[in-house]
Amino acid sequence: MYDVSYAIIPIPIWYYLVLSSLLFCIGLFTVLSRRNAIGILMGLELMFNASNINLVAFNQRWGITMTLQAFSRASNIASPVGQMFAIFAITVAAAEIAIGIALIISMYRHYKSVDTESINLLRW
Amino acid sequence: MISNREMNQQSVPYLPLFYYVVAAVIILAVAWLITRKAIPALGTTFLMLAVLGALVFLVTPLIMLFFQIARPLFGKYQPYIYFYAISLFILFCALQVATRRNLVHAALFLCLTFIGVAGIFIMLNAEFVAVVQLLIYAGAITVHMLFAIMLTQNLTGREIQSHNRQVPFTVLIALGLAVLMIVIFLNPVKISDSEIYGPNKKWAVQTTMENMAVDVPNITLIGKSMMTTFTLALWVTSIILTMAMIGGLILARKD
Repeated sequence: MYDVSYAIIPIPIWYYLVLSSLLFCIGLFTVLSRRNAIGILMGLELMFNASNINLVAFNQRWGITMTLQAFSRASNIASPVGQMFAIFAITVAAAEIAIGIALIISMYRHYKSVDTESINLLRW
Repeated sequence: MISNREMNQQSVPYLPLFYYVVAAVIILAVAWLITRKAIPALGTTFLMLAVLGALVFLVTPLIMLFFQIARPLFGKYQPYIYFYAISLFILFCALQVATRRNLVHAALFLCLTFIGVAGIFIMLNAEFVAVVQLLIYAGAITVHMLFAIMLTQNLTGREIQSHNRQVPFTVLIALGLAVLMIVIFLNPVKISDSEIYGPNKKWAVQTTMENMAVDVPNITLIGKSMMTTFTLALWVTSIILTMAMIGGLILARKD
């Protein structure tokens, strides 16, 4: 009824790569310029999300090509490799942030603050 | 089972009334709360969140209606408009995470960033990853961060400054890295005789139809491959999560 051939035109992959690189750089700025340790963890999570966008974008674009070359000669395989990588990356990032916050809480218990500029026992 | 292609070819008329109903409910609830003086002050963050919410709930159905009406003329721009809208939302919220002085406000904008990234995952035909992102990031990790902020408040003494003294240098570094990465990503590269990676001048379809997600639902694909190809990764991830729980308990123990 309607011409829907536009609806399944994918967006070229470099759109997603530029978005993920900008998000990564914003996360990097957050990590390097925040004083509060939990603010640093927030920047870290922005970087994780940027890399996950990259993984899923590459899967949408080249997932089938990679599977054909790597695993078999069939022509109707869809490969979720990038998405699996992203799922496991999300899981491992969640575990790592749990450990990080546990570390920050034990640090708070010792210093009574989470200011990274005032933790200077091992400094020169 | 309806495939993606068949779903796109249905001719069900779409009326985005639901959005306006939700928007009206939210606006009425906020107005009632303001009359009851439950919202103390209309700070910058509140206004920003209100503007964002209004943009999402009031402008999105207008865009959808516009594309439904003007489909023959502007149909091919529809995915691009959605991509630009979601990516601007993500980058705006990420900038607020980077620059807000109040850490709780930064955590709230972080949650909005996660929701925007879930939208990008849905555009990439990765619905399961989008829902996993919403559950774990916007659900568990946001709450975890807010609890950590609550437990590590500075109860006595001077308030911690939000940014250290290296901010201008850091801005230079981040901008330099962004420029470098974007220049690399926008460089056209010839992959094979028929494919070129990189920005073109025409609205070309950069992949053939076989490279799109085939007519298998996303969750079937992920479920089957999780149980056959990625079984080892699944078991190792379960061990990692157990380790994280035990390690977190031990590190944060009162000793």
